[in-house]
Amino acid sequence: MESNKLFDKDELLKKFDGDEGFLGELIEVLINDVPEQLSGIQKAVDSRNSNDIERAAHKLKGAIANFEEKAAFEAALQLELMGRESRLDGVEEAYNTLVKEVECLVNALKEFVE
Amino acid sequence: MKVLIADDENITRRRLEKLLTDMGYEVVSCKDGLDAWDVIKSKNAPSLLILDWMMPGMDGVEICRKVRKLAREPYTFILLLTSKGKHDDFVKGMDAGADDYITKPFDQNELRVRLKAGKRIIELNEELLSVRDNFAKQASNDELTGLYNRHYMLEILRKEFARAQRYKTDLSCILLDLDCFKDVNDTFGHTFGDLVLREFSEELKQNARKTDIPIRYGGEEFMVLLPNTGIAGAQKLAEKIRTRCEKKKYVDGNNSTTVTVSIGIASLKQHQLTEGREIIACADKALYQSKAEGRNRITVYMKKPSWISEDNKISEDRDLGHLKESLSVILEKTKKSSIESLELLTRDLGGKEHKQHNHDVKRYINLIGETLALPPTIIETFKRSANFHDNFKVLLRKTLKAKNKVLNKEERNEIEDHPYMLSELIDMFDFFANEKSILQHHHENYDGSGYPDGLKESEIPLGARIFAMTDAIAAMLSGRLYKAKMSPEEMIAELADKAGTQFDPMLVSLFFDIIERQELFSVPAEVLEQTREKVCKAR
Repeated sequence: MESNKLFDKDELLKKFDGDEGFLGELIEVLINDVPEQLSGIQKAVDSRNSNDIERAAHKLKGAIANFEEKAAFEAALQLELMGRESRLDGVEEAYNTLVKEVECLVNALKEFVE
Repeated sequence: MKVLIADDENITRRRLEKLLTDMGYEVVSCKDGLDAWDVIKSKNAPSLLILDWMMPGMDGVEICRKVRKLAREPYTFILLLTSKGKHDDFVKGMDAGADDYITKPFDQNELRVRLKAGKRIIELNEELLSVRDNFAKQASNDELTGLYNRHYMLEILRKEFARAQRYKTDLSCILLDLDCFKDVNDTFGHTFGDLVLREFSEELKQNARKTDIPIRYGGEEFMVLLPNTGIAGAQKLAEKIRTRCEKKKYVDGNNSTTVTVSIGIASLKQHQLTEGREIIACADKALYQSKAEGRNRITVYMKKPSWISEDNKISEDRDLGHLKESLSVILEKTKKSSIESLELLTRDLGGKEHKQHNHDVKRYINLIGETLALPPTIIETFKRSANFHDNFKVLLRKTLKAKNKVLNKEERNEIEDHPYMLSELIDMFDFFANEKSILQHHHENYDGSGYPDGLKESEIPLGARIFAMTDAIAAMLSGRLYKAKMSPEEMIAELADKAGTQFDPMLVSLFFDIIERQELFSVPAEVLEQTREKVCKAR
């Protein structure tokens, strides 16, 4: 499965001192927080508010970084940078990419929990 | 150790919470910068802070700046969380006052060691502060009693004196010396003596108000400095300490004794002192007097008339100003005893309420007077007026009550005349108003040629005419520096000669009658007769 390539399970567990229970708890938090965070970003994108885009994307990036620093992380970083530099051309596409990557990550993590 | 975590992102914050709790820290965590700042400002705030850079409300860098401005003790160690690869950010963060930084996502082990370093710095700082405080305490406190020592007292006095001058407030000094303390040491030994000193110090601490500063001045001598307090407040505290001390028993397993205390008091305003140290010198003189007058008492420092030297000899150099200053001291005593007599008279009539009312009024006068920075003598006058008013009122009400009737018109008038009645009563206390006119006019001459006002005949007060003549008679008979002593005969001739010019002729002939009737001097009857005729002519 493609999503499995997103992270190395052993590496991930190592980050949390092998505490599977705690990792599970954090994944739950992420799954719980993601919808609200994404809708926050979408709102900022819709209103083309660069400041809000930067802030909201930065926050989600921080959450993702606890698990991986690949596709989802990069997507969030891109949006953050676009916001910071007020480069709003193609911001919707960037947002769509982020939604897709986050979905992949969440799915992979869900699988991990199960 | 307490640590604050501030991060608005739930997962990172939860990770930090767990990690730090596992490490044994007491964790306080916040979701935004403003909440974090509230925690930092509060009492017992954490000394170790982990702050995210970007947060709603207030960002981590701004908090860093504010914390450094606050400059709390012990030191606050700040670890900033930054995003990876933002070199400029970390420079900015450290510049704002962060001690260390760690990039997100953080490595648990790296965070652990960085926190350890932070903890070490805080602990070192705490150790340093405690050593510093100990040194400060040793330098400022007396080991046996825990009170401030003499060395530190000088520093306090300097500060308090400056403050009193700046804000025009008062400062009083109570100097206390345990009576016959040497006997205590000789009889019971030094260990017991130390116990007395310690327990007495405790007594001082217990009785002093929050703002008073008790000090061990040396040996068995103690001091209490009372900022913003006048002589009356100082007296009150001194009396409290003295009576408590008198009753207190010092006891250990084998010995028991009581020790009284002698006290001297001085205050800046009362004595118009211009230097801090003067207050100690004044209180010391007053203390000496308490000892000399039999111990176990309080003396308020009184300035000695400047023409009376330390060994009680009157110096040659005295001018009117000095004389007035010292006579006013005598007058103050007289005024005080007048009021005390009056109070004695109303003591049983007035009851508790009257006393309380009078006490309150004087207290308010004192507060207002001190706030207005009025001279103590003026404040004293205001307070005495209240004394007179209240005591007279008690006396007057008593006479009305005795009539036991409903107020009629006459009585109402009497009440409306109240201020006049009071004024008439207080006139009675103006003891020397009449004497004043005699002194003022005793150099007037009967024919109007004298001074200062050139009064003549009956314009001159009778007392002044009598005094002028009797003073002259006594002077003539005893002789003065510039005039030879006269015989009674010569004196009589002189009186007759000046009757009608210098002296009142009526008084001269009256005096001649007295000489004759009382056989005051041995003068031949015919001499008196001749002179009498002369006087008659003058009249």
